[in-house]
Amino acid sequence: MMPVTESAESNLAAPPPPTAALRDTGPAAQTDTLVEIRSFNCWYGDFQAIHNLSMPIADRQVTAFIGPSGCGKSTFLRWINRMNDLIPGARAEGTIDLHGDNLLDKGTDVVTLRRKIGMVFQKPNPFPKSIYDNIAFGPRLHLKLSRSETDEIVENSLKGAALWGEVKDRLKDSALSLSGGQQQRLCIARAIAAEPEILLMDEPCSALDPKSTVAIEDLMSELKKKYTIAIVTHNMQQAARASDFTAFFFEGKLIEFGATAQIFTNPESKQTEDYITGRFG
Amino acid sequence: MPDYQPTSRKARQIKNTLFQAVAMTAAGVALIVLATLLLSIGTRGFPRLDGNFITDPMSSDPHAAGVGPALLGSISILAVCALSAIPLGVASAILLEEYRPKAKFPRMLHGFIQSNITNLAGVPSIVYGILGFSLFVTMFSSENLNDPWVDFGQDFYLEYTGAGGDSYYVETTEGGELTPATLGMDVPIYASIRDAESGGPLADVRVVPAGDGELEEARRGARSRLRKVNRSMRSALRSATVNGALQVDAASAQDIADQMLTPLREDIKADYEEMKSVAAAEIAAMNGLNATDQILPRRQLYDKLLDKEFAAAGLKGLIIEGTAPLRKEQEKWYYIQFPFGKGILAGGLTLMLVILPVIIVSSQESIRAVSQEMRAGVLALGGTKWQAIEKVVLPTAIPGICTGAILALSRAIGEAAPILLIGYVGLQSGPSNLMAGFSALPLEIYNWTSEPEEAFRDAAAAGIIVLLAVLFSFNAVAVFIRQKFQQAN
Amino acid sequence: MSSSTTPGNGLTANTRSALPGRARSTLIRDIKERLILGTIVLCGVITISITILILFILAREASGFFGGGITDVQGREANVSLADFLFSLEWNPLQGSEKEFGIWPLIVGTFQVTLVAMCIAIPVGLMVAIWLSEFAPPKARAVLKPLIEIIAGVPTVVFGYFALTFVTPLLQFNWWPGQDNPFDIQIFNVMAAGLTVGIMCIPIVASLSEDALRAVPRALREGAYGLGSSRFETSVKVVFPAALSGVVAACLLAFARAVGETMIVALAAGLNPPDLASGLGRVFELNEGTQTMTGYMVSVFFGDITTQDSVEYKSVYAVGMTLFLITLVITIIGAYIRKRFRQQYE
Repeated sequence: MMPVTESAESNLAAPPPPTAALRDTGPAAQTDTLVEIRSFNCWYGDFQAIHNLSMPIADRQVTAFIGPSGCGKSTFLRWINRMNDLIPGARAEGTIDLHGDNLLDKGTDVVTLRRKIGMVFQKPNPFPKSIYDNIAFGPRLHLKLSRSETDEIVENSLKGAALWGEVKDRLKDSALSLSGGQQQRLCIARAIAAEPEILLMDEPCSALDPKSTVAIEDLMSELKKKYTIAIVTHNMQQAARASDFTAFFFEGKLIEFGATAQIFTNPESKQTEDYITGRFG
Repeated sequence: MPDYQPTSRKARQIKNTLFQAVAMTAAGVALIVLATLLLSIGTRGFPRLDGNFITDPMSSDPHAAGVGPALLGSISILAVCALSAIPLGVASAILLEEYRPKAKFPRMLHGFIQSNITNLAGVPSIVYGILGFSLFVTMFSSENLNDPWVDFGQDFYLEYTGAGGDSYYVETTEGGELTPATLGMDVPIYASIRDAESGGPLADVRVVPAGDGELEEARRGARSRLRKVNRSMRSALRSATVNGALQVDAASAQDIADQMLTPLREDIKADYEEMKSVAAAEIAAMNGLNATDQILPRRQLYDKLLDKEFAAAGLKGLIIEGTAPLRKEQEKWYYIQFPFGKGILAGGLTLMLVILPVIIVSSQESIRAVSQEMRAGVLALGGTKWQAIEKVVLPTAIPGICTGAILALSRAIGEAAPILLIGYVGLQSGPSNLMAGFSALPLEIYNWTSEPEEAFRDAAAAGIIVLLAVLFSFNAVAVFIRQKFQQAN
Repeated sequence: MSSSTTPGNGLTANTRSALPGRARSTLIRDIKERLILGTIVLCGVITISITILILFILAREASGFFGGGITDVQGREANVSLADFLFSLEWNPLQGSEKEFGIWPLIVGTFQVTLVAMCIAIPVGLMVAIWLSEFAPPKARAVLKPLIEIIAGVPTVVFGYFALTFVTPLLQFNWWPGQDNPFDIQIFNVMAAGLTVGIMCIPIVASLSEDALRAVPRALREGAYGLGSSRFETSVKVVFPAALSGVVAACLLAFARAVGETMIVALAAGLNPPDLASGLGRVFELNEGTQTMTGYMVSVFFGDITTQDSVEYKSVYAVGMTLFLITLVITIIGAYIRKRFRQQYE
């Protein structure tokens, strides 16, 4: 665990050490660091996708990664639960520290890791099974469950994803019969059914209509009471509305990281300012 | 703007209409040809088609001939084909699609295998016929019939499943020589041995399971003394085999008998010289037989030697050990010998060669059609790679896999070329076990069509109708599966 | 969140889970997966070794045909060299005192039938494909397309029956009463076999070409119509060229199928390959019988050649190898064309 260092000083000429940013945030008093990233580099073959990244991810807060397409934010997100292992030629160096373990270690059991770090994808990807079986999928992989235990998990997860009211009468229906927004909330419910600590969201609203987007954003502010959320988004309003911390990526480098309010009102870097004011990207 | 010459709108329109007319005519002609094909078969075949046609055996009288054995044969080889091709094909597709290697050399190998499979799908089926013949029927041609493992296949069966099965003690109630052979294939509890010429009763026998006590001890002792003979007989015979067939005359038969009985010389109670003369006579009679045909004479020789030993051990009756049950076993469906010979197993596996590439390619396409997001979804929930395949990829791909497999099987059932060399025509009964010879619908149709007599061609037309009916029902099942799953999703 | 979690134990400690139920054993899961993967790999290896074994067996058996050391069914020494096989124009393997094993007559016989077949299958098949994809009303297409696929699955022995009992008599028919049929069509002839093989190939050409034509994106058609093209101009000048690689691949596949077609030629084409030694004009006598590579293999299978070590028997493997190589080359060319010239549309 990395408690916030009391001695860190702000207002230095150099960019503040990453953890110091947490102290400036202000929105809530308890901003422990859950994941600490240090000197992270990653490559696709010979192409270096991310250069020397260091930042914290705060416990039970929403951290947003923004930046133009191809800046490496999604790549980075997918390294946190090692989904990039599947891509031939992808490799990473550095530390992603969770409870004192470096997730990038060779010996890390990625299966256990991914159970702890859930993920929601850009496009809703419900399995072609019933709503019930979709939610129960993760728990069933890991646990021996009785019927009533499964029922309980399904109900709690759907309630947690604010979908219970809409689907409680048709749990046996195919998940593919749901609308896009419902499907995405189903995927969130499916992810939280496995009781992860961290929820990674890779542009979860990019395929959804505005109404569903609002529903998901509301859900995020609810979910962060229990889960640590890291979200990649293209939508700056979304980052501004829904996140507590924001990291701005550009061309594989972390340009700026800080409390969302600060990044959007008073960015330190010119590039950040250009980006959030819509001058490029 | 210069004064360009416009194209004639009318000419363009005429061209358009003309082309459409020609294209439509082509489609029409194709349809008419198809109708003619069906009609020419239907008019000749339907009058010939009745309930008996489906069940009757082949006959040299074209009006009485039926497709019963051929239909059973087709079904049997198709079953063997399906049971081998589908698991192998689907597993290979999973391996090729889901476990793509990342390193350079394995990736090249993967690419080579992939293109090899794709190319094999285009190889003419008759080529698979000669391959199947080499691979399954003769297992790389006849000269290798004496390979130890080939022999093992036969002898394992004889010694451990057949001979080791039940044993019976046959007590004679009256005089007369009994041999296992005279008891026929079935050994009833009570049997009358009748004289072959007059038909009168020779002796009544009572067949009882081998008892206990002294009698049983004597029986066991005699049998264990003789046990070595099977093995020594085999190696002695193998040394006298030239080009797959046994080459012996009276003198060399004496030598072989001596050779095979030497290991027993000290042990046995019966007269060694007498045994030797019996063995030499039997071996001389086996001259020219190949390994497969030697099975029964060899077995009978063993039984004769065993009889002598039983007699010397003081057993008055006849103990039948295995012979009768063995011959019954030979008729069981699971009886297997190496090489397979011209039979159901070889035929079905040859058809497997034909459709394996097709099944692999179609299964791969179905598996590939499952989106990567599905797999990522399982992995992100902490599932393993296999769990993703088992719980999401396969269930999603299964309709496509089934459709592909059924269509491949419907191709297999209509194939004549690959089994021309393996099947028979004109069989009187359907196959009874995996080694039995078979006929198949397309073979019988081919045979009848090539007969000059018109009545046979009517029978061929009727056979075609049966074949097409089977085929279309396969297609219907495939369409049904596809639609059912399309609705479900 | 408590900060007491032991470092190095972060992944195994289930810090927050409130789920009921007992955890599944990862050990059992791992063993199970190993076993399953092992089975899959085993099946895969069997399949892959079969596919490689096929090449090996064919080469091994075919090589036994050459270089002597074997006898014919009458027990005479036979010595066939690879040069004889590849360059001799005479083919007389079964009868007579002098046996000749020059492959060319069989290859020519095969291509006689195949070319007649392609003359039917390619124009008709392409027309059907274009009509189905560009002109046909959707309802007609919904019926015809599955129908074509079903015809493509009809066993070739059925077409063989059709050739012998319908096409040949039709060709021999005296259309003008009192006058002989001018073409002197024999019972077994190239024409009937070729026509029927062509008919068999129509669905292959039509179905695969239609797939290729349909794969051309609508935007391309709309572009052509937007410039004022007629349907004919759109389909022939825009859609067809765009789908050309797929269409050519379809035609090549049909070509390979025709070369390897067995039952039709076995029934309708006869037993005598063209006698090339007596002049090449014989090649064009389509009213006469012929023999293809596949036809020869069938005649040996259905004949009396039972001695597996005889030269006649081994010749089947040499012919089979030739057939295999020819179809392989066609398949590879087809795959190359499809890959190399395919237009990628998003």
